[in-house]
Formats: sequence, structure tokens, C-alpha cells
Amino acid sequence: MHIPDGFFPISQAAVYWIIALVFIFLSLRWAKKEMSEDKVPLVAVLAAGIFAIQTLNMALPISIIPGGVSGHVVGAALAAIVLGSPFAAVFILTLVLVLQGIFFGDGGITAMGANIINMGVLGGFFGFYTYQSVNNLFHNRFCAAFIAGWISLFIPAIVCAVELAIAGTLPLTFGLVTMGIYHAVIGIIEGGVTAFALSLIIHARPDIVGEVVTGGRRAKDVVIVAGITIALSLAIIAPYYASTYPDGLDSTFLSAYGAKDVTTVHIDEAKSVLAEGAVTEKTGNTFSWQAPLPDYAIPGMDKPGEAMAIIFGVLVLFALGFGISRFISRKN
Amino acid sequence: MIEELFYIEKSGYRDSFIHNLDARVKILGMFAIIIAMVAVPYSPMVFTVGTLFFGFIMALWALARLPWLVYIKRLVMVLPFGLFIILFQIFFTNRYYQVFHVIANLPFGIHIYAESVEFAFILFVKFVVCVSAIILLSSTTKLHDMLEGAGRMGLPPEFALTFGMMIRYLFVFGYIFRKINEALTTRCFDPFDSALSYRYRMKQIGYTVGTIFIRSYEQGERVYTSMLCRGYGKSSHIFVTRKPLRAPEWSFLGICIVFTVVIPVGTWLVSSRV
Repeated sequence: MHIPDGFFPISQAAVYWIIALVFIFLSLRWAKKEMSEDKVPLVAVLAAGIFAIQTLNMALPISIIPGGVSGHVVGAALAAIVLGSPFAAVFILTLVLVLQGIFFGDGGITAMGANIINMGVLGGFFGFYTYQSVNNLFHNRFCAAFIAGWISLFIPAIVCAVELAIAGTLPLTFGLVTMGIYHAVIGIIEGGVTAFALSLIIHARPDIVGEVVTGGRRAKDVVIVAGITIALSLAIIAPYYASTYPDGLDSTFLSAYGAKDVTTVHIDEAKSVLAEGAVTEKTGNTFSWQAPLPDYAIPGMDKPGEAMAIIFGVLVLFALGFGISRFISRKN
Repeated sequence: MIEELFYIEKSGYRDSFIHNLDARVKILGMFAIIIAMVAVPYSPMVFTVGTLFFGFIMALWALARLPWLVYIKRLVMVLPFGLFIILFQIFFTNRYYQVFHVIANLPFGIHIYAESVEFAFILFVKFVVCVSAIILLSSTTKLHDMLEGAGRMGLPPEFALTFGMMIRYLFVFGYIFRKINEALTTRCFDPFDSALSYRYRMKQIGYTVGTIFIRSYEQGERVYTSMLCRGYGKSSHIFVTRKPLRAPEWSFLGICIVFTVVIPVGTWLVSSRV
């Protein structure tokens, strides 16, 4: 999943770098503030350990080429869970990814921003909050760590496919299907290893596992678990239904005005504009809504605009989700 | 990858003109090549620019007197993910071309397009040039020199310190990993052995991961305590001495920068005139 250089146009790579830098800054602030005293060296040494962990390879559970396809653990979920903050994962994975990019050439320099967002930020945040929510709901650390590990690999893979599609270097459906399936299977290794590793750490050094014990079922957890389930289902189903052709209502409207034949996909652009004019005239309704980000793009900006629009949308949704869940839990 | 770490670092300790250059010069030069290569739009122009850049990097590699096998081995190691995307390009249309010509029809309605093959080559050239620049940089520069160079160029002290700690302990964990691996092998454990149950293998790997995690955490705690004893505090940072660049280093940097600017611009001017 380490995206190399050359697969993003430079402008998009810059956008991802800027977003990644914001999270790197936040994670550095976390390391200074949240870790008791100034334990930055501890996290740095831990990053070296995580790098060693990543070299442990294992065969896929369902080997497509016998003995040929293997996977390894990224460790974002494990780091976030044990250290009790998603920023721990961002911090550690940034160090590891910079080393891999600059020293090994695994993952590009210009694409490093995107790699940090995918594996560090998304892996860490999804891993951490999934673990917390599932653990609070079902009181099963093992199960929670497994799901968290799986999600922390699957979501970044999906986002990686979307980023490459925005860059125009990998078709969306193909990317989602191949990357999705491959990482859904590899995710089993990540999940299983995270769960076993966590259970060992909890037994050996219970004092270092920074768990937030809330007790009882929280509305926020239900929202997070339900949200992730729905989002995942949509992510799997959507590409099969997403189409650049007009939807049913559009198609009926266009064919009623002769701008398109019902059974074909060709649209006569001139006639469709006339049809819109005719309807406005007939109904007398001149109201139109100018969307802030029409067609998932920011006007005046090319592809980086599309990337930013999607990221903006996701952030707004997350903010809304957290806001609503906090509101509900406060009432409770 | 951890075995590769020792291998790469070893090649950084050789002696040659390129090895002896200041790390700042090499970092800036190689990053300039990468950024210039990525910035070239997806067009056949990439071939000319890419070939010239590649030739330049290979000339530097020859100057560094490193075996060609080292370069090839390292290139092969990082190819898989990029190559996967590149190979599948030929079956799809993309937005960088207006018209697509089918050159081969395969079963299940799959086609190979001439333009997509060209696009795949464009991606391949960009990919190989950028990876080659990184291979040259890391094979001729010690990790610690790279860190000092970055520190001199204004990397925030917090990052310089954390990277420094990480780099130092990478090699410690390299040895720990080797020992653990040997211990597993002497007990005849193979994570790829399909005769063992999957759950059992995963459990062993999971416990190994957990052990490395705890060992690195405890190592971190010890390091932190010993640093405190030596007066470590919030304002501590790695001490980096000032080091002015020598004349050959300035000229090397100048050549790199001029090369990365002149080649793409020149190619663009020539192609636009044609």
C-alpha cells in the first residue's frame, strides 16, 4: 500500500502533504503534552520496534499462489490501542514511513503525505476508535482488537484506491475491488496478530496499556460501530452501482423531451439544455440551488479540488457524527 | 527489510567522491530530481526527461563505485506494488488521452489499448527514476549523516531528536529481530508452514509481535530514564555542528539543480517547437 512517486500529479501530492503535516504537528503536540513528562524518546524507540515488527511476514490465510503471497503487520492499530491515542499511531507511523521512503525507497517522497494519511492517520484513528467502541459495546478486548486491526488495514486500502482514482492512475472500480479484496484478506493477519499481541501485552505489562474505561454502553459507541458498518457496506456496494450515466429520473426526463433515447446512453446536449428551459417555462419555477461543492469538486481547482472536496466531505460527516453522538450521550 | 537495513548501511560506509559529498548536497540534489520528475505532466515528454535523468543517476552510481548488482537487487525489492498498478494500466482507458486504439482483444471483453500501454510506460519511467534517485541517496549516505544534513537544513529539533533515537535503536532491534528469528527457526517454527494450524501460527506471530513491542517499550523507558540522568529535558536537542559546504559540493549541487531545471524546460521547448 506504499504509494510510490510518480503516481500522483505534483499538485495532488502537495495537497496530501499539507493535510499530513497538520496531523504530524498534532501528533507531536500529543507526544509532548499527553505522554506524562516529555517521553518523546520512548515513542522514538517504540517506532524502531514497530519497524522491526513490520518485517515479520506471514502467508495469506487463503493463498492464491501457494506459499507465494504474504503479508505483514502495519501496527497502527496496535500502537494506538496500547498507547491510548490515535496520535500515537500517527507519530510512530510517520517516523517509520519517512525511514521507509527515504532509506528504502518503499513509498515515494512526494507521495509520502498520502501514505502518512492512509496508514498513520486513517489506520490509527479507525483502529483506535473501532477498538474502543467494540470493546465498550461487547466487553471483549480480543474481538475488538481483531476488528480494529482489520479495519485499520482495510480502510486505508480503500482510501488508497480512491486517491489513485482521483489521480487518474488506477480505475476506481478495479482499484476498489482488487485493493479491497487483497487487504480484506491480509487484514485477517493484521487483526489476528494485533489481538494476540495485545492479549500478551495486557498480561505481561497491564500498566502500559492506556485504556479509557468508560463502563456501560455508550451511545457514541453504537453510532461509531453502526457508522463503520454502514460505511463499509456502502464502500463495497457503491462502486458496482456508481455510474457516470444519468440516473433513472434524469433519463426519463431527457427521453421525454427527446434529448435521449430511453434504451441508449447517448445524450443530445443541445436538446437537454432546451428541455430544461422548457420545463422552467412550463412550471414557472426558476429556483436553483448552487451546491457549495458541485460534482464533488471545488470550482476553479482541478483534481486537487476534487480530492479536497471529498476529504472536506468526510471531515464534515465525522464532525457531524461526533457532534450528534456527544449530544445524545449528554442527554443520557 | 531489517536485513536490508544492515546491507544498505554497509554500502553507505564506502569511500568515493559521491560518498564523501555532504549529505545536504545529496539530499537536495536527489529530491530535486524526484520533484522535477513527478512534476513533468503525463505526456511522452516523460520519456526524454526520464531517460536523461536516469542516465545522470546511473553516471553518479558509477562514480560512487558501487556494484551494479546492489542497485538491481534494491530496485527489485521495491518494485511489486508500483509494478502491479503499472501492469494493469494497459487494460484500462484513462483521462490523459482523448482517443484510444485497441491493439489486442482478449476474452471476457478485455482490450489492450495502445495509448494505455504508452501511459503504463510513462508511469514506469517516472517510478524507476524516482526510486533510483532514492537508492543512490541511501546507498551513498550513512543514516546518521542524512539526519545531520537534515538538521543543518532546518529540520525542527524535535524531529531531529526523535529520528536520531529511532535510527540508533533500529540497529538494536535489527539484532533483536535476528535473535528472535533464530530462536523460532531452532524450534522448527515456520510462519509459512501449512502443516501447522493457521490459528497457531498467527498466535505465535502475535506473541512475537507483542514481545518485540514490550521489549521496545521497555528499552524506550530505560533510554528515557538514562537520558533524564544525563540532564535531558524539554529543550534538549541533538547537537549539530556548523559545516560550510566545500567548493566541489557547491558545484555538484549547482550541476544537479541546473540539470533538473534545464532538462524538463529544454525538452518542453523542443517538443513545443516541433
